[in-house]
Amino acid sequence: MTRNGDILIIGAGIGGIQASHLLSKAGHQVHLVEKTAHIGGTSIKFEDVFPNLECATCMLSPLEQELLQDPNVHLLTLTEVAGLEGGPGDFTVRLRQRARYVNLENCIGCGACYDACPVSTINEFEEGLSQRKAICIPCAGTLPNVPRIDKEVCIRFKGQECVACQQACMFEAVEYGQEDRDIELKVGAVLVAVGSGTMDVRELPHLSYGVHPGVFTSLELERLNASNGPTEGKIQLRDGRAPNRVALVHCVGRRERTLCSGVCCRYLLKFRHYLRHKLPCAEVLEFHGDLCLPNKGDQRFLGEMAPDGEGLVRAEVVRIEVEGDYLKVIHRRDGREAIETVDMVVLSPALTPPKGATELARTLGVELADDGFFVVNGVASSRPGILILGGASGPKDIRETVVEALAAAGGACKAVMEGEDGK
Amino acid sequence: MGEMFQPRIVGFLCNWCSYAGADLAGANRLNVPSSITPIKVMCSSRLDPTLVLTALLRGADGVLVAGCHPGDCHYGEGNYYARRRLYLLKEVLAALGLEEDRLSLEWISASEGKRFADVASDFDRRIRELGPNPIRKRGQT
Amino acid sequence: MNARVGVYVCECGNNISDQVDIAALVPMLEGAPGVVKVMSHRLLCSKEGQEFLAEEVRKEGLTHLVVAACSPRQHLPTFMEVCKRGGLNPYLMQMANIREQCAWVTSDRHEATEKAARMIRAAIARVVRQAPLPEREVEANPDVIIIGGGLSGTVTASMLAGPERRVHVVDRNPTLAVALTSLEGVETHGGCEVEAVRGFFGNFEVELASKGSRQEVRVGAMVVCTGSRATTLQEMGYPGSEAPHVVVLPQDLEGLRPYLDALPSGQPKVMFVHCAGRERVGYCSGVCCLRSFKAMRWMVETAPNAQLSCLHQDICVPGRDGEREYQGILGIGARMTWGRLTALAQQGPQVTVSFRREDGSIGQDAADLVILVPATVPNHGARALIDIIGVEAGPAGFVEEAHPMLEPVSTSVKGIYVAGSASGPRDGRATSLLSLAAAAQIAAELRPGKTLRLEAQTSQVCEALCTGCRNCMTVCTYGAIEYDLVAQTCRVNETICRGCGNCVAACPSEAISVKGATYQQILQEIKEAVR
Repeated sequence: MTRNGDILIIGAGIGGIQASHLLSKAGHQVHLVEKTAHIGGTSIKFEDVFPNLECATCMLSPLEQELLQDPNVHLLTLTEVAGLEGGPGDFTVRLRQRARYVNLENCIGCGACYDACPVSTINEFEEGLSQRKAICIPCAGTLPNVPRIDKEVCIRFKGQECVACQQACMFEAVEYGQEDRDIELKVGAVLVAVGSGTMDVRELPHLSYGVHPGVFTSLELERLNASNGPTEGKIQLRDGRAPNRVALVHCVGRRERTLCSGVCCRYLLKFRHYLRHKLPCAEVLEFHGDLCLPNKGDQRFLGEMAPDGEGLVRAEVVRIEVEGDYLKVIHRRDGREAIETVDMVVLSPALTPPKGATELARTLGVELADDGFFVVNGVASSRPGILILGGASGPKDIRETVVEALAAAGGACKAVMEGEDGK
Repeated sequence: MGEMFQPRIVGFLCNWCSYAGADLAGANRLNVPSSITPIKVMCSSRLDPTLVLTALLRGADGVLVAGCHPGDCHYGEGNYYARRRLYLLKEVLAALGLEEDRLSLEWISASEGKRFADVASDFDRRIRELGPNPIRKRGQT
Repeated sequence: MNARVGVYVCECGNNISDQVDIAALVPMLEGAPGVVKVMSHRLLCSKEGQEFLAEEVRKEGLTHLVVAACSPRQHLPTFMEVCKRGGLNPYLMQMANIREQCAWVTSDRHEATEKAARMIRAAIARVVRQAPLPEREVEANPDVIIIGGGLSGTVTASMLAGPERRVHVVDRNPTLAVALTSLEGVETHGGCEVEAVRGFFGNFEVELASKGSRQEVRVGAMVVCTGSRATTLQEMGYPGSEAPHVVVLPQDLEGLRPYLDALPSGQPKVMFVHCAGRERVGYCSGVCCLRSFKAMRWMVETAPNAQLSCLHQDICVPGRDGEREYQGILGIGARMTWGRLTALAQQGPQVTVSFRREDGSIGQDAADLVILVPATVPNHGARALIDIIGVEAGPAGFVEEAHPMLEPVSTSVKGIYVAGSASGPRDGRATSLLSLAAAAQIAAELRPGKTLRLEAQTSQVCEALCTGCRNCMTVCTYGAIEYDLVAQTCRVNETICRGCGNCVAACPSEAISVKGATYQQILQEIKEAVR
């Protein structure tokens, strides 16, 4: 049915997208499989990206648009890999695609259905900071611009006779009768670009996340600051007040995971830029250990964000205690404990292996290391013809992910051509 | 006579950031004054002062130029060129008897739908305060 | 030939027609110059709509098409395809975005209708002044030249060389690694330097010079693999660094052996000093902490009696192995001190190490052997090469990437790529990955037997108007404009031009225009917008 030169890419984040572009240019047919209903991965949640504070949407959306219009790229959303057999140049992949209940061809993305939907639930894309409907896209601008029905919360799928979205749709795009389907493909090589996860900071109860509403994770702050996010870019506490004193806490989970994620120092500095811009009066304290700023421009960035070390506190945060509306950051500095009182805390959790890594590794027949990340040699996995790129094999920033995406795409071409692993 | 002043504003939007921001304002169904007619250019640096000036001389009550934020230009540094050229042009406007506020350069990113709507509304309000382009008025009488 | 413009207004279900009064809009457009047909349709992007439109183009014999619908960001490629199916050059179609930028943002129906009419008239006025643009291609040479025969050059060459692609590897060093010389399809040029480069992506001419002889190589692409090196004691400039018991950590740890053999018996003190030269270079090299820890571990095995200590600044060990290695070093009991090296002094058998703590206070320590862990800088000769080939470099002298995140192996010059540590300090893994990435990118962009597709909407210079002032050349980020010495005019290299139009604005004699966005076209749009 298909040529052996076809390539399967798992994960449509920035790594999967850039690998798709390269392979398409090289003349390969790409099957790009994405677990969620939209593409873009974690990077599209960012407002700006370090070190040059570029607007992430401006940078990524042309790449996403181009991808959707590329005849060499076959995008399968809501799809996961169920099985894989064969070897380089001759794999058979079994995919399971969940029903979207919205016809991708008919829908024009006008959004009339969300207004009609009577169900509201927590929006995971916005880190739970806002509500969404049972039929929706996660945030305006995400692509493809076609909603899906979340079967878990839609009342129709719980037995009620609701047809609100179908009636609101002028284009006969809502199809309650869609079913999950199995797809089988022949491909020559497989790229794993599933990214990494973030540590659940509830594992560290001494930091009071979930106990006090003033404690946020880094991704929550990203969405608060995002001009397409739940507050249209206002950085505020959960009750809507603007914070006056903010603690940024580095290296959350570093010791527990024996891992420096390598990206947090830079994004916390970026947060200082956000805070300075949006809340010029707020005082910012950055509790840090060793600063990891090895890339070109990083030291300059540090100098700009923290001139003369302003707001930098070299200390280990011991615990965070709740005191009424305020939070006490108890930290150890030069061997002594000290306290700073703030009204907002932002935690930078360690990056972890992607969710579902164990299952995916088993399905693909590749090895995971003790730390839960995929075993790699360069970008080669333990199984010939399967290449791993980006956060799946350890914490990476966007740049490193793109380098690996290009390298893995090259490796896939080689694997297809030679029927063996391309390094 | 006596009819309310309906300004005519030309909005030059760069293809990569501001045009996308204006689209996002649409996707979010925000309000943008209808006085602004968008014209897409690949980069704000395409706008030589003559084009902007021509718009004003042809009777535009205001010209809004929107490009990528500094550092975000799709072509590297086009927006810096635009900034330099348009600042110079502002100096010239007074000599022509035009208020320099009739020209505005703004940075609007692809995720700033709200900002586009706000900038457009503010500019529309400012132009309404300034009243009709004096050149157009002269031309009509 | 007279223009026959067809204007098709999409209702987008009710998304446009709710806010824009289509019945009122159609007659507003009918008188426009060149317009032979105005029609609305329920949904032009639908399969049926596309077929209808392609048929209309054919049936009505349209010379130009205006589609008033959603944002071109959403459906420009769709309707360009429709044109092709209808037998119309796709650049003779213009979209008017009356959904996102009109219907969806205007609450008053009358105002929305008026604005839509203005936008569509502007699109008509623009498109009738549009000439058909051909899809153009140029022949390209698939061969590649790699400058630098180290790790990155070798990896890149091994990935690219093949029966359809010859790879040249140039190195200042007369003898190149066997790994390279034995590769099929690779031609090595030892003891050579790049003297000059002419041409552009797909067709470069590279002049090589070795002692007394010259040679020209023709390639389609170049890769800078010049690598990096450690800063020297002289460059670091610490007072007293000439002390005999001070050594820079060598690449090959065996190089430390003579120093270890010379250590006094008993429990000699060996001190690793991190960030040596960091203040001078102005950045953290990022790879040295881990390299130092590995050396310390080697030391524990090689000189088990040595008492290890480490003067360090912020420990930078990102990634999977780093923190474990760091904890391992703490585990073997190395004494860790935070401090910035300020001076060294040989005092008797020992070296006194002076340093500044983070609070500004001065500290001192002494050791029998001091090992400086050096900052990484670009290799000798990289600067000269960068100037010859004309790529951009950062303040530290490393090659600057075309985009720091999205194009990590491209440079400011199209067709010149960069791999390994020529663009910044890298460890072995990163060097290999960057080299694989560069090879993959070249393999995709410069395919043997394939032509290069050119951007359709590029700038062009009207030679009759060009005065040769070269303003355009100074503003072009891509170096896409050349000066013709004979004709004394500028010329756009359309292989490189991306069509931003910056040069057009810079031209004082209106000699340059961008195809598809000429002065006349934008002027006509303006006229309609202010009418």
